[in-house]
Amino acid sequence: MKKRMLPLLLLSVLILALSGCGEKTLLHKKEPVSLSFWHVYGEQAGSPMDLLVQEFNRTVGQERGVQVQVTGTSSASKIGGYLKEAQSGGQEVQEMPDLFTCHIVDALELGEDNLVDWNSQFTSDELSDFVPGFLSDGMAEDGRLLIFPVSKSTQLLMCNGSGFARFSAAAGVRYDDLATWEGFYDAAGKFYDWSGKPFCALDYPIRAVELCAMERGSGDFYTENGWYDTDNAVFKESWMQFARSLAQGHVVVSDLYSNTQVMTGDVLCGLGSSAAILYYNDTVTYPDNTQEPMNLHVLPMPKTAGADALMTQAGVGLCAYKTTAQKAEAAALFVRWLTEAERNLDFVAQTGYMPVRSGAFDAIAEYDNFPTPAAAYESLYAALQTMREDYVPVSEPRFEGYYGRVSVLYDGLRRLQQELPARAAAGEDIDALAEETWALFCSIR
Amino acid sequence: MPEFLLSKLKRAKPSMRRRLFLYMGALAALLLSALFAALLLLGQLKSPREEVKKALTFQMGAFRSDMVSLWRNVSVMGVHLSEDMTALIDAQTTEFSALNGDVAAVGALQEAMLEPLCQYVRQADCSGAFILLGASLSSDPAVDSHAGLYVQRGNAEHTTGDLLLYRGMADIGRRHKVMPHRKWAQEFDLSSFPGFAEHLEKASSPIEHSCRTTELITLPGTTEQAILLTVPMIGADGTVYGLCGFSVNQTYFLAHHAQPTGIGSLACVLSDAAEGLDVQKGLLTYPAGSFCFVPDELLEKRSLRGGLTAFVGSELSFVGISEPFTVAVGDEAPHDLTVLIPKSDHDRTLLKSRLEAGALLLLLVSFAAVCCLFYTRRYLRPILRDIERLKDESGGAQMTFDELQPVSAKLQFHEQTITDLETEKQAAHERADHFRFRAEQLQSENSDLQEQVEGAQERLSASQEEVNRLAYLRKKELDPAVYENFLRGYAMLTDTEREVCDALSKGLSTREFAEQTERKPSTVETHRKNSYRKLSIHSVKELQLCLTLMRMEQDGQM
Repeated sequence: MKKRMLPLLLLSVLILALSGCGEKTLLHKKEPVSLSFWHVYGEQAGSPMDLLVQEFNRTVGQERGVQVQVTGTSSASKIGGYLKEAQSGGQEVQEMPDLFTCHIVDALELGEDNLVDWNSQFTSDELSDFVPGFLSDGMAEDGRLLIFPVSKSTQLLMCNGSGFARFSAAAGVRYDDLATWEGFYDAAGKFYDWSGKPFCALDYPIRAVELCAMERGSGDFYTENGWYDTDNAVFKESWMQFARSLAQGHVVVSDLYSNTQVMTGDVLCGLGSSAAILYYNDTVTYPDNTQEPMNLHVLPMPKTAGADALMTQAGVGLCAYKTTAQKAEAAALFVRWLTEAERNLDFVAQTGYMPVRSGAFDAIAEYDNFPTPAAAYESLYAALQTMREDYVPVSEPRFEGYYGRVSVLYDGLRRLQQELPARAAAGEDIDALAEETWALFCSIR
Repeated sequence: MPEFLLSKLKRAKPSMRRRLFLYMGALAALLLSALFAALLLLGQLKSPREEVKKALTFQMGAFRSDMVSLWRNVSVMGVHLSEDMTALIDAQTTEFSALNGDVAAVGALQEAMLEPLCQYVRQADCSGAFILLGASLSSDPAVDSHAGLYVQRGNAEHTTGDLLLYRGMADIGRRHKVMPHRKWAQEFDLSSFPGFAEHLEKASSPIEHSCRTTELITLPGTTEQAILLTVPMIGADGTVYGLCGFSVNQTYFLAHHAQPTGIGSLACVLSDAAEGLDVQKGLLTYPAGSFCFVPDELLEKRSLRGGLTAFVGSELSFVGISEPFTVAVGDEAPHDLTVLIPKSDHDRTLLKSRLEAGALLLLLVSFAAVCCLFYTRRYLRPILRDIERLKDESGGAQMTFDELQPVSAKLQFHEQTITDLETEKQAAHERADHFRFRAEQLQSENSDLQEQVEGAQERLSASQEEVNRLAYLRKKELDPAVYENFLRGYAMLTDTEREVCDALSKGLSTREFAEQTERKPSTVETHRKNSYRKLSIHSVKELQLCLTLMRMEQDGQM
């Protein structure tokens, strides 16, 4: 009897020991760790990210002892400031979240050493499944992966389909005319002449200008201090093309988000992030309270005729504040779950982003679970598909203080656009008015 | 049988060992009881369920207080807002109903209202404020939309002054730096704001009593949920201008009403009163820096012991307490305030508490047992051992307790004394027997001697008579010179020599006389020889004769 029992006992001990070695984890189901989470998905509107967090808490989080709590939702442009405030601490300021979405620039300003290096949480095999360019967007110079890609966006043109149809009928402008910057600005002028309103609101005009300049062969125009070389003639020409249109009121810098201006009928289209689709209403409501269906039509970002097209590669990623090894593991668990191929595809398809796994984008062609209005989403992803095929992605600048300067530039342009169209209408020289905007640009250091 | 045992037990005198153990046990029990009572008094041994209830009740008190403060604030501010906006409408319009379809007039009114409304949003404990006018920009009566303004905090969780225009004329908002919300709409669609139509219908004076709250509604176009407090705007003539009020949305509620608590995982819910708890229909908050996941499903309520309620879900369950709470004066039905903790935490707390109590009791019992063992080994056993030693009279052994040493010595002394006395008593008895025997012997001897004395007396008398007769005869025969020498010599005898001569004359031998007078026979013999020499005689007969003659002469018999 004893002879039989001994091997069984030894086997049990071996199995237990091996199972213990196999699952070395700091997470405990009975003592869940909580992760506070700030993100930018669905600011003001709510987003599938909140639903995903709920689902994670209910399933894997519950099973593994991780609870994620969304404690803040803001925009990609503001979250960096909030994070810096939180890191500084003080009363009336929220605590630093454990997990947040931000740009690499914001992450670097928080301090590389204060953030979890995702390389330590993911194997190289796991990381090899992600689009390399998306991964490198989130890397510090020393190779630490600070921002984990969850979704990527680019800029494109979103048009009020109902309004454009009327405009098209009246002025003969077609969507195809908006494929190039020349056609875009020309159409803008025609729309202004036809309606007296700006044609387009641009959320990130500087990006449009620099991509256009790059397409025209400007070369590298960034200076050492993280701004632009104002002596670059190609860059200036690109700027002036935009500025002339702005000075005449054909285009505007969006007051906050271009989508609201499209929804209020102030402009016919908006040039902004693909993720803006989440915020478009189904209807356009004019000041006199008349309404018409939005019929959102999404077009690729205009390009320079005859040149290789460039597209911006934007979008925040997930960053974890370094606190405890347990929280780092919990954050990695959440990120791993969040970026699983199917879930990631669902998420990006609901929010207007591009998936981050290699080859995942092709699956969108057969995706049939878009939110309503599905036609708008199909239009978006058709445009994105065109851009993926025809455009070369370019990462956004990551200079320290860059976005602060951009914000100053946009505020200045918003002030100028209040007066320049009237002065242009009064007969002032358009180029001179455009030069005023260039002077503003050059004044920023 | 038991009675027999009982009576036997009653009669039985417990041994000292048993009594000592009994006393020790009683002392330990007393100590334990005292400790137990002290722990009870100090609150260390309370029912874990009561502890949970107490903690949750305390938490409920804090939550209720916070909610009273929040909703009183928005109610009071709502009344002020209503008064201010009513005054503005009165000032801007002559005929309120004429506003319908008059975009310019409504625009002018909104222009006047927007800044004060923004001020109210910034001052009140709210995520937004609204004014719903009983008029529409559309003159089409079929359109069920209402003009108005709805301003929200830009980032409810951050303390920034940014405001967004959720409802209202976008241009007016932009002019006042209140940018349109990303889900902006120009007018209120009443079907998207449940409760507004009813509140409009029931609007009455005084407005303080007409403060009402909606159920938790999802703000149109967003996933943000909010409870809206409405106050009617009523003109002096009784015309209901519309509703105004404040909203408290989930994001704001979570960020600004985090609950102070010592409980790690806790959720506080303000929800519609219902059979179950559905957090999707309630505002949810947690302790600062903490989180408690509550699934968005209907949790079934079940009563538990001790006044607690179980909230049972398909996968997760919770334990908490729930109370009705009237948010606004005009509410027809109260809302519910609920504080809850995960059931797993509750069960763990109970288990931990029970284990702690068990461990404490075990510790106390162990402590008492160890104490008993210690005292038994350290004191009782040595005492008993010493007593055994005393009993065994092993006085030579070293005592464990010095205090017992004198007792031991005394006891030994007494023991020795008793032993000595016993020995002496035995010896005395033996001596007494001996003396008794000797007395009997002496008595017998005395009788014999008495008989001998009597015989001797008789013989002496006979001898005396014979002596007298012989003396008479002998005087005649005795040489007077010898007698004369005798008389002269007798005068020269010492007392001792005279005693010896008397004894000899009486028939005693020198040996017998020596024994009687405890003198040496040789000494008596010497005295006899000296006497004979002085008396010039040579035998006892001559002595007896001469002495008899002398005494007869002295007595005058001759």
